[in-house]
Amino acid sequence: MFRENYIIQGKIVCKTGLHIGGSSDAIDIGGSDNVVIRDSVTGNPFIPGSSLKGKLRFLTELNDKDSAQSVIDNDGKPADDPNCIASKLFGVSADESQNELKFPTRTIVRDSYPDEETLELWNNESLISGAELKYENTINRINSSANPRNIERIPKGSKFDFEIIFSVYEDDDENISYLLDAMRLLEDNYLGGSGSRGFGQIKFENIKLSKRTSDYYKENNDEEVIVESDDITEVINALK
Amino acid sequence: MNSSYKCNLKVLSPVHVGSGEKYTASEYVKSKAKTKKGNVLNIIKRMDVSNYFLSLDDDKKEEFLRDLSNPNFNLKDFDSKIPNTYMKYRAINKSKKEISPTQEISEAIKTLNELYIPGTSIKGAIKSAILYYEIDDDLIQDISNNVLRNNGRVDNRSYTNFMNRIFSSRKAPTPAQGDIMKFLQVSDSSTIKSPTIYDVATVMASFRLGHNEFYTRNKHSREPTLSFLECIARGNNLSFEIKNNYDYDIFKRLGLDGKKHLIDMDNIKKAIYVFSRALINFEKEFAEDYNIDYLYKFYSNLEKQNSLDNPVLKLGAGSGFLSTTIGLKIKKYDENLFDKIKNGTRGKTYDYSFPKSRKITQVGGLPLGWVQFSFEEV
Repeated sequence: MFRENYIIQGKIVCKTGLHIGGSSDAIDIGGSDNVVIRDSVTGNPFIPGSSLKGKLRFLTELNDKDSAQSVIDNDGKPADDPNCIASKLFGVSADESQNELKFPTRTIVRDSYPDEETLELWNNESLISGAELKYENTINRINSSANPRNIERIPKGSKFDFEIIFSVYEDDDENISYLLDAMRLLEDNYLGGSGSRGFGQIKFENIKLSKRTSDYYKENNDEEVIVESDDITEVINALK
Repeated sequence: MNSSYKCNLKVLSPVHVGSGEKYTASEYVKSKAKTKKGNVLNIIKRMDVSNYFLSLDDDKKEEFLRDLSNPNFNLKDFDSKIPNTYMKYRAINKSKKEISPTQEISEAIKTLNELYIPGTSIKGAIKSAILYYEIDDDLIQDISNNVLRNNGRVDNRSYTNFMNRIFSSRKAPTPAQGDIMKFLQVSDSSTIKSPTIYDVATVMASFRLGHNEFYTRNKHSREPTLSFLECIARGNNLSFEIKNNYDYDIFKRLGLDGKKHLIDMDNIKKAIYVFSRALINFEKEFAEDYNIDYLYKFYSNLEKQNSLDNPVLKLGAGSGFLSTTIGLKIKKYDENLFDKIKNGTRGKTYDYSFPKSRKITQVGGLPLGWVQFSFEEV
């Protein structure tokens, strides 16, 4: 039975350029083959919840021994052992679970959209619909021939409003700290593509962690703000 | 083996990492600026021409478009009081020669009009150093036997196999999945606000030992052919991060446990140091052989600065064949094999000193792209 929701809200700040790949509907002469994903209504780049959740899950799987073992047992696919933290926090798809999992997914990650300040920042002549075009080369180490490519990315300094909801049910033994740990690990990892060579370094800022019990929904009670901070480590410490 | 390093990159000679774009006087206005110490600098103001154009009335717009078709068009002649609100950034002009309105300036890579060095450039240069340090005589023989075919032409498939053999695991489903280098994360550098423009010439070895000459397009002129480049000037310090997230328990399944030393920071530092030491020695010999005293002086100083803890490395444009390849290692192993590559790569046009040309700034006589690293584990 449902007990409470934890709501984590705040901003994702791009410390370096971010590339989450999308697809181009049209073939533009001179355009990029490696475009970023964009919202079909506004045409602005956004961070899909699937990308953020996938990365948080991946980092949890690396950070928890049982989850890591489940990934290994599953030939590199996401952990599907119903008893490991990654499965409990992030769920298992119906195909993978073979109907063994009888509980709802605890973590919901919303799509993240640029804030007003960022839309203003993107109103820059050097950007095309919120993205910069970066040219890169692969150099042959024998004869130094170059193989150029270009890639679109969201510029450094862009900010996105994020929201993650973590649900707690009666008798749940796992807790939100695993999720917050994954967020901290993500700050030392990367989001999106080409992360090992500079892209996708992010930071969570303006974080607000609040709790909404079942009475919040039934009785219209206020939510309880647990902590507000610019530092994910402070949020983790506030829960200890 | 998880480690994280805060790194500093000190620019020892101008670094140009290009954006792929070029611009002329139709996009900038020459001006002067005073430093805090009262010195007067030549600057250019790069303008946001699109927004400026939109601000004009219809008659002026027509005039602007008509003038723009003139290759000698100069924005300052069109409007000597163009407001700074249309300025994208200021660049310090340190070129020795006057930049003519038609002369193209190669733009440096920027994010929101601020310069930086991409993680791709830093990581790519580090990878070249690791490769140089890692290959032994057996692997050089392998290049000779399998990679170079038809008088020095590189067989791309064999080259890919060769690179995978060094950096990837055979156990992984694909070489990309089992590439050890993906567990080394190198961030983009911090940014600086203003580029510095240098005019860069090409100094070449002459066919007569002890002599050098500047490259010129016009055989009847002694004026060197110049490129104007936006650079990060000498003396700037940029920060970036290196993270090593190799996880033994997880990744031994990929068969990478035998390659983990490649991304160990001590190994990386040594690889950069050894690679650059070899390159500096070669460049010193080149400068001595062809009597290029300013290059000899620069490399003599650089040799003293290069150390295991604070190694130097060459980045970006003008790095040249030797700093982007394992040519030096091949040359040391077998001169004939090196000659094969030279002929296969460039065509046999001359039979002395390969590579024979070096890019240098007109002011200061500096080669491009040398930086020095320092690393602090966090």
